[in-house]
Amino acid sequence: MPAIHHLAVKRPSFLDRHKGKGYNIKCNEKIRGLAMREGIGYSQSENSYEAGKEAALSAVKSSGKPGLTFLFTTDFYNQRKVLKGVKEVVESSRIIGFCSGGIITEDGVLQKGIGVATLSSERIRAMTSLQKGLGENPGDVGKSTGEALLSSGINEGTVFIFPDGFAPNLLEMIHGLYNMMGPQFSFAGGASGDNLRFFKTYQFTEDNVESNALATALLGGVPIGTGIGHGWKPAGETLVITKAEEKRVFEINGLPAFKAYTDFFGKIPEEKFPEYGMKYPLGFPGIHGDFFIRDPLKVNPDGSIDFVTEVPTNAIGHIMKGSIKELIETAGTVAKIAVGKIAKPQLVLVLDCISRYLLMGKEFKRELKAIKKAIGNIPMIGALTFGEIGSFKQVPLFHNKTTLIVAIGNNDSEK
Amino acid sequence: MIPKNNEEISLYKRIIAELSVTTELATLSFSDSLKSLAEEVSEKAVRLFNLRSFAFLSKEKGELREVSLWGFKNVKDVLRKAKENKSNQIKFHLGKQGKLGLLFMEQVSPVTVKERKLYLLLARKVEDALMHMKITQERKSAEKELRVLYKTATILNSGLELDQTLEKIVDAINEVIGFHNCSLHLLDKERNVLVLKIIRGAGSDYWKLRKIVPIGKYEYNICGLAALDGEPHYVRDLMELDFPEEVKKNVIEKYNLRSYLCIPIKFKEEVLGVISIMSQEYRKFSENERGLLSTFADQAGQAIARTRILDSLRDSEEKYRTMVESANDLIWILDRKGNFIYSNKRAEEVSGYKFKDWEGKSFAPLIVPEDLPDIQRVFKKTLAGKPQSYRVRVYKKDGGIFILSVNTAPIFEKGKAVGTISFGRDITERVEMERKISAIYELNQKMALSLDMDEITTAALDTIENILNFTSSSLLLIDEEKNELYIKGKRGFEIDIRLPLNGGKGVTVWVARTGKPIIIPDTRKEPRYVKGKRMMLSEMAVPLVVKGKVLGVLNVENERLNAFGEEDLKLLQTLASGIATAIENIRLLENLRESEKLYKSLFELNENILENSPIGIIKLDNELKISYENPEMKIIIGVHPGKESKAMEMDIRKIPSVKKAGISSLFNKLLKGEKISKETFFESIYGKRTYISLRGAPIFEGKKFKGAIITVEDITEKRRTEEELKKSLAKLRKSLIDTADALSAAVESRDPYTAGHQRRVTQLACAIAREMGLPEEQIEGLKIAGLLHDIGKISIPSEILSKPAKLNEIEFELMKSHPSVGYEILKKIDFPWPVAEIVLQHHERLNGSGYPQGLKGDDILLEARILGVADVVEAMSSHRPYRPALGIDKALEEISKNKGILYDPQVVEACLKLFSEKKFKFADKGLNI
Repeated sequence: MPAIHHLAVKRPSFLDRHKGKGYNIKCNEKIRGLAMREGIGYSQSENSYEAGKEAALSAVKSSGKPGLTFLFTTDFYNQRKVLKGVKEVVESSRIIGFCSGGIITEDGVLQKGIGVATLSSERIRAMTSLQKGLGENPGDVGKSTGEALLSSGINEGTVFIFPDGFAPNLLEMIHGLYNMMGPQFSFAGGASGDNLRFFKTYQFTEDNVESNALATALLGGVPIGTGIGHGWKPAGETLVITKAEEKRVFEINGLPAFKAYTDFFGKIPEEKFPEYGMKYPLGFPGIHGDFFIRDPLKVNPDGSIDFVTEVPTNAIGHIMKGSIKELIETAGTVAKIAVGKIAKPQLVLVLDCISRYLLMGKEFKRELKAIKKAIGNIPMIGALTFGEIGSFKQVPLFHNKTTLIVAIGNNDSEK
Repeated sequence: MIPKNNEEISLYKRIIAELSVTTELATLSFSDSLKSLAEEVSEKAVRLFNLRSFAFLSKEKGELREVSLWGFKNVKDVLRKAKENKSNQIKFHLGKQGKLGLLFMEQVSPVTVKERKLYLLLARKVEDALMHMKITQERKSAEKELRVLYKTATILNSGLELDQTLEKIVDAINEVIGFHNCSLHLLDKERNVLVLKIIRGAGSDYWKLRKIVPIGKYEYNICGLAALDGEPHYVRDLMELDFPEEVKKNVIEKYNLRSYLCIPIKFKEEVLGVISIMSQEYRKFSENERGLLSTFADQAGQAIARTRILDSLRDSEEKYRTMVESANDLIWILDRKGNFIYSNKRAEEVSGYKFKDWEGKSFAPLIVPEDLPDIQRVFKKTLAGKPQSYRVRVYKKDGGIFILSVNTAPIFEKGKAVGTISFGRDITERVEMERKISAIYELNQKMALSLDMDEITTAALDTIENILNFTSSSLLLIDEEKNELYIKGKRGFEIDIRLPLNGGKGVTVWVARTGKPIIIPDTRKEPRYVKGKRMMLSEMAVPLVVKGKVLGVLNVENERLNAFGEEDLKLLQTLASGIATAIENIRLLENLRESEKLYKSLFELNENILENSPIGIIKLDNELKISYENPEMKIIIGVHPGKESKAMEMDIRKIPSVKKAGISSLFNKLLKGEKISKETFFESIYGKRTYISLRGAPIFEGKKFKGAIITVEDITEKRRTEEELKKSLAKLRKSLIDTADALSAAVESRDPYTAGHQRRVTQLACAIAREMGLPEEQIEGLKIAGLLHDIGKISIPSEILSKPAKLNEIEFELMKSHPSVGYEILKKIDFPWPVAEIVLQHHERLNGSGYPQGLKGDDILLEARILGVADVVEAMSSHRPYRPALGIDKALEEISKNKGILYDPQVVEACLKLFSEKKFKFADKGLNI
């Protein structure tokens, strides 16, 4: 995939870039039959290539030659080799995926493993895009991604967005992408991460493996339903983010952020902050009563607090609380909503915030069970994400500590 | 409230949410930056309302521009969507009539009332924020302008040279407005070109080689246009102008220059130059930018004007400094305390002091003490605001004194006199001259009053001593009898000599002989000089001259060389003139006295002659009273010669017989110095009338009327004789005319056609002569001539005279001889008039075409010219043997036509007037002349 060029130089179109490369720009090659078939596969082989191949083979066994392949990895593996292994199996399928904090299965989370989900149907129309330089020019990357995806000619569908979770200003990326593509598309995704080392993470399409990149896939031709929710509730009075810059909040209610935060609880020692932060994120309501959650990460020496995602200045919010039970219930509800949106869901993707996994610990299995219970026999696969991209009301926004469920249905179904 | 179920939980959540949203909207920050505002508004709108699409557009110069978009690619998409007006959409025009911009929001579900209110709150907050931003921007813009003005003022006041100032201005333009190319041209009015002064940015190297821009020559010359009409000019795209290819290639295309703005540099409406800026993008240059650029241009204009004024001032200052320094007058300036602040070179030269000797010190010690109180008073008055003029004596450095004539005036600063400026002229020499002239004047006064030669001589020598520096002086006079110069008065030596004027040596002799003054700077080199006992090395002598006659010499000598100059000579000459006049006056007086004596004796001698004179003589005194009557006069009066008449000692004007004769006022003329003469009747005391001839002459002594001598002659007999003579003359004349008439008739009897012709001609001629105002005496002569003008025809055969046809050549020649024949006959008679000549010339014509002599113009006697016109008129209006009468009109037409050519114009005019106005008619019988 071409690098992100300097803004002053006009970038060649996607078509120009892929001329002669043997790709069918309009749509991928014809798959057997119109009815969608899905497949999922896992591997925990320690050989990256073999793990990829194994997981892919398992998935393809069910789906047949896929049109689109989702690939979730963990940071244990050599991402390129994994991709290579997967590609060997799925061949010309579009591939979209990222490195995560863990692979979600029906039974639990694989902290080391490969997860592959494949979709196969003649009606599937898929386009992928991998754009570098996300951290430097998130808005432009989003815009370029939109241009690339639209160049496929697919004019409706769902955009799967997997940005590098360590890159800043992902909201700008969403802005650029959304402006380019417009509200006629649905958007769902999650930010890539690692095993909480916050070192490096990866994004990939069939083209390549990158970091500090945005991997997207536009999937059209199949019905998709999404559901997003978290279960957090406001714990007390409103607070005002009086000063914030990107992911760092300096002041709350005119006071140093940490002070204002801890005043809510009475005085808490700084070393205890991560524990509190995990349990008591900030939530910012929308008009419809939905709260966007922002996950506090760490306290800085100047009393400011770093968050996982950008916190808007002058935002009115609350300290949120939530019992595990409530969180789990919500996850189940969300899954139910997602699958309920389409007539015959065939596959469920679960993009769940790693912070919920860390909070719940062993209880996280219960969340997965709740989701499973809600979706029934539909195969599910997913990954732990470092932020989720989804819509309460069809408008893609960036979330923390949230569960995103994507149900992909059979195109023969109607709703 | 603790929610009990999910529904309540949801409600609770919604309430909290609404509250939070409302609060958050209310706290929308008033950002200075549109970008920050856009980010915040967009983020909140999308997050709080879950908007599907959102657009925040601002309005600039009537156009909507993207500020922030969500779900749109561009403004066009927004505007298209905004027109849909769907229930899930809402839009707000921000500001009055949308002047600030537009907010557009689209959500998933239809907009509820509550949501609408919240959107409205958002829109109002955005509006407020935009207004705040606008005000802040305007304030910043104003501050920027102020900074610009301050900056440029600082530049202007920094005292930099013009070039540096202009450079700074261009720098400031770049800082504030920015450009890719900026040039500053100054206007050269004489050559009608713009000259490049400063160039910056793209294309500089090219333009630096092409510094001269002619004005009004090329249409693409926008810069020149701005200079020409004094208005800013803008071009959006330079490529649209018809630049030469070279310019397009080497500048415009090469540097990708697009928009171009030219602002004239003006000062008080006069264009001094142009500032031009070019941009590499299409740039409109906002009103604000144009205004700022104009401000810079104004500042540049002020700088240029100031430089010119300063240069001019410097030139003036230099000029005035030079004038002051090189002035012939002394110029100095004092402060309020009377201390010297400045003095010019002339002051130094005259006083001998340097300015630094007196700088900061008072003028008082320089003034002669006697003059100081007055000068101090003058100084005070000057400081009070009144210019003064005065004279003052001032000490020189060497102790000498010089005299100044001074004009002084106050120097004002902010309405208060801070000192004085004075202009002084050294009049020391003039004053000295005045003193000398005064001395001469005094001498003249003395000499006018004195008639004593010795007195005058002494006074003259005293004055010379007063006005000249000499060792010896002398006044010499000419003794005419002996033809010698003798010393009348002397100073400084004792010798008394007489110098012969003929061939004699001596400078004074030369002066007396030539009447010319002389200065001898070194007597040793002068051959004419005669040495005396004492050695005098220089001499000066002037003649005493009156009416061209040398009376004497004034002489001065000095032991020093070159002791006398031209000024001294002029003084001595002035003196000499007065002395000479005085001497002459004395001599004249003496002569007068002598002549008075002579006159007196002559007068006494005359009295004897008077007694025996056959003519009456009266002496009148200065009051016109009779002081003497001789015996003859007494007889005329009617008094016995031995007795005294009663008229003695009477005012002659009042004597009754004089009054009766009507000649009283005649004697007044004597008082005016006029002679009188009159012939008149005089009645004696006995009533005897005599005809007298009276003559009188006044006697004056100088201007004073002393009296008169009157002579009276009895010319009664003489008059009688004259009367008789006149009578006999008249008789004689009558008989003459009768004789002429008879002769005339005799001539005419031979030619019956011309009978009466001469008479009629004579009638007309005399009438013309009278019309012309000729005297009767002359007309008498004309009359005789007229009657006899054709007497010569007596020699022409009568057959020819009365030939009914045209005469042949011989006959005509014969006829033409009659004036000559007439002349021959009449010349023998001694008429008292030129009758023969008149007859001879009566056929002459003005242009010489007449006969017999072919005389012209004034060579023809006037009487002949009159006779000629009368002859023609009578002839043409009468029958002739060879033709019928042509009529008087034809005759008058003939003379009128040839007036000034053949016939005397005055004569013709008189003749025409006789017929037209005076209705002249020929009389058939009698002369009637």
